[in-house]
Amino acid sequence: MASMNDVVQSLKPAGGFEFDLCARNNMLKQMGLKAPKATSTGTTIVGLVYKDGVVLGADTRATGDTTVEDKNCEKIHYIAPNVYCCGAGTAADTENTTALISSQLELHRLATGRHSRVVTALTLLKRMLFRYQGHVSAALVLGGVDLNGPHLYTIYPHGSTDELPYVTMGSGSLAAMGVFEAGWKENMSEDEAVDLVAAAIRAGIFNDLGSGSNVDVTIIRGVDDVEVRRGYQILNPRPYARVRPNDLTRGTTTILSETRTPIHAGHVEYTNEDAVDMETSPVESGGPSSS
Amino acid sequence: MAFPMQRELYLPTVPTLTVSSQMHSGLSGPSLGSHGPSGPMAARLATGKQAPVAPSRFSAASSSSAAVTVGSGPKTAAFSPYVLNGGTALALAGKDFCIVAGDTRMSAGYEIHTRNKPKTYRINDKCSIAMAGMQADATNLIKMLRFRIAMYERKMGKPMSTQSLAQLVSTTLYRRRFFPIYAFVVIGGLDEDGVGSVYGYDAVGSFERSTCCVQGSGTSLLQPVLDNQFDFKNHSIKPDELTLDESIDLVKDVFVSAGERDIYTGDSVEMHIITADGVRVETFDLKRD
Amino acid sequence: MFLTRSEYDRGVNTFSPEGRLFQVEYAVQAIKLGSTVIGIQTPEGVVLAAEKRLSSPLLEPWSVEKIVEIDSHIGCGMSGLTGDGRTLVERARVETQSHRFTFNEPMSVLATTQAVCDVALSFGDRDAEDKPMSRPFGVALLFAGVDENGPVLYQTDPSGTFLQYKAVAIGAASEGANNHLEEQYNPEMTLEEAIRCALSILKQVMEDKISDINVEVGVVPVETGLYRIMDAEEIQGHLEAL
Repeated sequence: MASMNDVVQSLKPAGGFEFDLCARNNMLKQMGLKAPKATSTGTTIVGLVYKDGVVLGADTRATGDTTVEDKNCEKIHYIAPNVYCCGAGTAADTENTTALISSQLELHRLATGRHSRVVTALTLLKRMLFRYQGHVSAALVLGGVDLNGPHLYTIYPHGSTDELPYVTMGSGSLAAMGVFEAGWKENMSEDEAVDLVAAAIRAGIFNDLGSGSNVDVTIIRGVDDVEVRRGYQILNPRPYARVRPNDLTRGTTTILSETRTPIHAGHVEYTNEDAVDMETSPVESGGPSSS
Repeated sequence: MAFPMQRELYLPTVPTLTVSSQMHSGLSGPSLGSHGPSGPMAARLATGKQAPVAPSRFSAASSSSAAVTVGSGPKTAAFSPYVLNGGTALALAGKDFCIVAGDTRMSAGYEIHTRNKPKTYRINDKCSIAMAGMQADATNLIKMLRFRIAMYERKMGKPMSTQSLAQLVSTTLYRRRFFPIYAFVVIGGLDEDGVGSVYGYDAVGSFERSTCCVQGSGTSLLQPVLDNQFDFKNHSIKPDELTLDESIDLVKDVFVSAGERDIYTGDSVEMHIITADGVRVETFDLKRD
Repeated sequence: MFLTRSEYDRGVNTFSPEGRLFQVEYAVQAIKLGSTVIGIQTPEGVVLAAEKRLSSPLLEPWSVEKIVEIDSHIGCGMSGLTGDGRTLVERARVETQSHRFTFNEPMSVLATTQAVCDVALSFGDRDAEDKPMSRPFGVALLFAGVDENGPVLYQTDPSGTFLQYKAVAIGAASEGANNHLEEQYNPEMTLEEAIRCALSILKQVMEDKISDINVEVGVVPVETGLYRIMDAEEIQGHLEAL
């Protein structure tokens, strides 16, 4: 008989993914169950190398199928003090993959006492993605500056990588690349670089339905010389203040039955003299959303 | 309480056209067309001369694992004639007015084809049509309708009434019961008594008169809001019916809201405001992202 | 009858040098052999009254039908070759039903008459899709009905011409009957007066003695907007009042 300790041990999460239900899910699939579909990439992310470093850019729309799930999400993730990474694909995959590699690098820095190199982050990311054969759907733009200078990479969900002076990813990548191909040149100044990155993201925001809302920009000049410009351009405020609905008359909702239960425990009195209106923010719905 | 008879609105599945470029010896003849695996052609193949292959092979929609034979075997090619171009159209009917509106974005997949293709079509002084779904089918449908309406007006010597138009649209759609016109129509206008009327359709011509109807990609977002805020459904205390100006505000509000959350709704809205004085067209901008 | 009879009267598609289509003119003559039908339009509705020629005492009177229903709001009286008339009536019935099916409203009397006249002229057109007649229709029709324009009366003839009348007669005694109508017609007439007027004219022009079995009367009153054929008893009532 299993001891209490065994039970507790079995409930503790082990490292890595759990595959316990794969066999069951395959069986259900054969019986005709439709598995919930992971959404495809809907994002514009870009990066470019300029004279003194790397500029990364991203839009801020997250979609689930054809619905906008988040109007202002963050797609430029922290990897190390000198390395950042833009993510496209399934939101959960990009967030967790970058967070995982970020903590591995942190441990590595503690162990070695040296700054992280961009290529180390690249190797960790591509090894992880290759191991999962594309099932972890993260398409990344990795940028940073280390002792060897600025570096900019793209990493595809299956683990292949490129190193290039200017890159785009996501469903808006064609629109953004169009802007880069027209406007990129070697040894750009920081202002020129930020302008071009913002123009590329805007091309994605306005021409790709998977991308939208605002432009986020992160400038990496060197270790601890990073500027995260969240909401660099706010392009799509609500164009019309709504007039309706007016307040509803008390009694509009039919009450079918009413039960009141007095609270005995303690002596807490609630007053709502200073009550303020409840903030309403987008409800996180179930299912993977894509960004 | 007895449930009303259940009715189902029809959403067309994509019919497939099976093309056989080279037939086996037992069969001869030109290319074949059929709608799905159980189409008339499959039946004919099954009952005809002994075919060397199972009938299901000839259907592009068949899920059987029979591989396409290389060389002399039959080749199949899928024909998918439908595309959804997104966007939202709606109509509201008041006591003495009607509003017909649609956004002007036309898209497919993640691409915007144009930011300025209105979904609203003025028919006469008393009514307008709006359509969502597939733009090519909608354009063709409106051309067929305009032809029929012109012929009617010359023959009958009067403009077509909203209720006659409603019936005409239904019969036009139902003619294509087995290869549907992929357009989701809503008609808004004034009836014979000058009262606002709205007719909503499915793709094969089932229709119903109502007071507010939304069609297209924003339907699931907007229809419940209008049911509550225009028809005051589920309100124990019904407020006064909305005036024309209040209704225009509501239309603007719901389109802006759809533009926030539905990627296919945006750019601008064209609104036809129909009163006893005729049709007035107004537009307003939405976000372009 | 005609001053210039010639071989130009053999084909339905051939004009004479004087610009006449003899076959059509002969068809018009066929109507002059038909029994008399009178139509009168009043502000209260339209009436059709027809003479039935009962050539034998052994003939069942009901089987001679000169006034028929086209749609619930339109009646039609015919004179000439009744068989040709039935073909046109059938067409009118199909057109009105088709209009209701497509447009969810009754078809106007004008449009119905127009549709029938479109068929009247399709003779001789061998390539037409719907197997047309090889000769003109030897029948004249009176369409009486009530639509959104109120009560109306139209007359058609074999040439496909149609004209609107306040009151008109067709058939063998049409000339005399039309003279009577011109004298007696009054735009303020009630429907009742129009029925009596039609019957009294029929009484004068008919060879047989008028009775409740050798006339037919159909009315479309504005009040109901519905076509209705009168039974013998009702006709008898009107005849007694003459």
